[in-house]
Amino acid sequence: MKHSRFHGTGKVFKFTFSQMMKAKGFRTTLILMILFAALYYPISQAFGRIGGGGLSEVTETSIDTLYVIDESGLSFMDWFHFDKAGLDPIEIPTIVSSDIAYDAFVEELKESEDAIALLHVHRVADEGSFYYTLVQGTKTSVKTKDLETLQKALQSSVYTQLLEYMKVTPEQMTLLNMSIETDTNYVEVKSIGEPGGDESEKKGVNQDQYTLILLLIVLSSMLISMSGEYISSSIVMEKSSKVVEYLLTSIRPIALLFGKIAAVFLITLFQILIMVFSYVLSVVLFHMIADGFTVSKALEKVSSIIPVNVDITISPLNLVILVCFLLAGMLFYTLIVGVIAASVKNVEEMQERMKSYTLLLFIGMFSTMGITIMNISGGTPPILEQICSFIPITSPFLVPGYLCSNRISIWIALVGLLILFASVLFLLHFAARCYEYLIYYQGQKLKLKDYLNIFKNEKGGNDNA
Amino acid sequence: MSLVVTNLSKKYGDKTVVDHISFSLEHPGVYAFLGTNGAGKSTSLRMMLGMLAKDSGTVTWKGAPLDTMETNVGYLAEERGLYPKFTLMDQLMYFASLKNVSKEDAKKRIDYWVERLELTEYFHPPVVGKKKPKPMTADQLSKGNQQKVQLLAALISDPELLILDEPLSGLDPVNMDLFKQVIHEQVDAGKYIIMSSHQMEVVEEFCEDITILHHGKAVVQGNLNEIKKSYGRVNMFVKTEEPIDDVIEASGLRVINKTPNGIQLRVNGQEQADQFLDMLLTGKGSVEPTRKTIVRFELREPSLHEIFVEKAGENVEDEAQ
Repeated sequence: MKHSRFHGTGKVFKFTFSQMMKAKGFRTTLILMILFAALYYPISQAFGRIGGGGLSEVTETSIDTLYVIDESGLSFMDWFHFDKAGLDPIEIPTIVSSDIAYDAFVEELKESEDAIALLHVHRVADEGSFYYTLVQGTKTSVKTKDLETLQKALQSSVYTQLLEYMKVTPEQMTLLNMSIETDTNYVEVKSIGEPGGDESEKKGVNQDQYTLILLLIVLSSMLISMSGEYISSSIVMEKSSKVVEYLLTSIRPIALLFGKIAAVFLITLFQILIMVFSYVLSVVLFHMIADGFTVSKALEKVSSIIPVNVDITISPLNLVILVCFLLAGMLFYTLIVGVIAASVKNVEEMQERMKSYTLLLFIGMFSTMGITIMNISGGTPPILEQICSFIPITSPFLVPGYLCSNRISIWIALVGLLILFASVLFLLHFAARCYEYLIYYQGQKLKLKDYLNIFKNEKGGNDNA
Repeated sequence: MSLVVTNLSKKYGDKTVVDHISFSLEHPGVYAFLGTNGAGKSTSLRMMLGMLAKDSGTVTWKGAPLDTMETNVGYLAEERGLYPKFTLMDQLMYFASLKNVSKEDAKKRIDYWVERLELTEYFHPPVVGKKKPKPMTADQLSKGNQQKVQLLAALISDPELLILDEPLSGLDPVNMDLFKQVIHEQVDAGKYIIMSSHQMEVVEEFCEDITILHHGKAVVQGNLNEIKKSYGRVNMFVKTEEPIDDVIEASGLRVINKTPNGIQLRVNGQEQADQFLDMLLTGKGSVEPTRKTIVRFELREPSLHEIFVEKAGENVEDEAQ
């Protein structure tokens, strides 16, 4: 029976994986990463507490008056005592119930320079949801940060009051199962047609979104750069030590490449998972030891690390897309490194050629960082985020964070994922050809024209068969 | 026929590095590939193995195109390669698994060859003190020992076709003998071997058939004995107690080499050799016309070394013209 081109991929995978795990450098790096992940939370918390950042501190606010338009019919709600039950207490000097219609109030709010905000409560029966929408005028002196704090207080307060109000009856259970959603509308004074018009499309990122986006950029960068380094050193070592000549009598280059990529893939995931586990464990242990929490309560603290609120959605679908982007992004960049590594003879040449790869990585990473920084200071046109969601170089860095921060729609993320998958498949095919060609041709230096010829031309090595 | 190579060619840019080479291995034994540095030996071997694309030609094994994935081929590369930081046992087990050798068989074969190639102390380092010794890695071995491990890797699948690219270069005399014994054993076991080498005396010891490459072209090819016979017995060695320079001058023969062991002369055949012997015995052509005391008189075919130097030299001269 004739062996397939991929015959031996599993053996390469097994060997590469086991040897990487055995390597002293890998173990040392892993220990350092575990230490970093395990110590980061306790140390940051310890410094925070020393600095006086208590959990039960009352937050001062720039909101003088909060107007409430309640169209929900929830008579039991006490809008005037957020501090009563909220976990993040906030003191607003004046809370006024308004009888003015919502649209009319918004028009007034546009022109107002007072430190006022509007809370619009309404219920959408079809969706089974309550909406708590905070509205702020752009001329107002109310800080966006304070509205975000109010949002959190509101969510906690509403939930607590619901619990207080309800007894355990079938009807109350139905109420309990209804989701509570809040939203903030930024009402712009400038209307469309004025200079700087169409600005209503812009919306900045808040602190929580920024944290999440940054966290995911760091995670994807780590995955991509670690896997890239592993694959390049593995391929170059085999070429510079000439082992590859022996290996090619038993295995096709394509199987060699895929086996390696699979091993590197798993090793990198393993490292990241170990880091995440160490971090979670350190959070749990810290709260159990420092605060005397039970395991379940300490685990609740873990879930609060990623601030899930109205601006952040970590739904199962979002999580699946996020993981797909991280893995496909890693594969995309790893394949690029695979092609580069196949075209060099030794480490020195590799260092030279890796400059272009590093540049590509920087473009992907810093484009996302740049967009995020611009968003903090006012917002970028959504089209920029959408374009970057479709480009495979930037999408692995941008989409995970921006999707979970509700900055891009699920459809844009899915289209971006589709493009990334298509690019990975194309690159897989191209990398396989390049790798075979370059291995068989003894690593001669190729020009762009040669790469195009490789893709067009089927001619490669091993043409006895 | 088992291995048939037809019209194998390779160009790098405008330079032809292998120029329509054809040969075949009809029965088990060693086939030699000879040539100066850069003659195209390794390139030809790599093309045969399918690891370097060829511009033209075919390579078949038992009637079908040679595919190293399907045929049990052992290969010792010219540029030796082992993973420097991995343990010897790990990498040999990996190589064996890629050759579809079962774990048990691989262990047995490694044990056998480790002992046969006198590598035991590197694979099973002796225990010193209480500490269990760490398994050795390739970069801890000398060049010669690394070469032995690579030969082991080439033999681990018990291949039917063995390709050895300069297997004896860089070895000390003891290890060279060891390698030669192993190659002899493989020949006795009915293996097909292609070997490239610079060492003509080694090739003469093993090979029946040869190809001499020069600048990618086969300048001499065929059965070694027949090639030698085709040259005739033209190499004459003479050693006498008295000086015979005047006799040589009178005979008009060309001196090839002069050493304390005697003088090597080129004759054009048996008749010319007989005439020269007669001159020595009668003293004809000598200042002192007395019989010379002959210590050694030998007339033989040229050695492979002489054929090689002559062929390579001829081509160099041709190119100069």
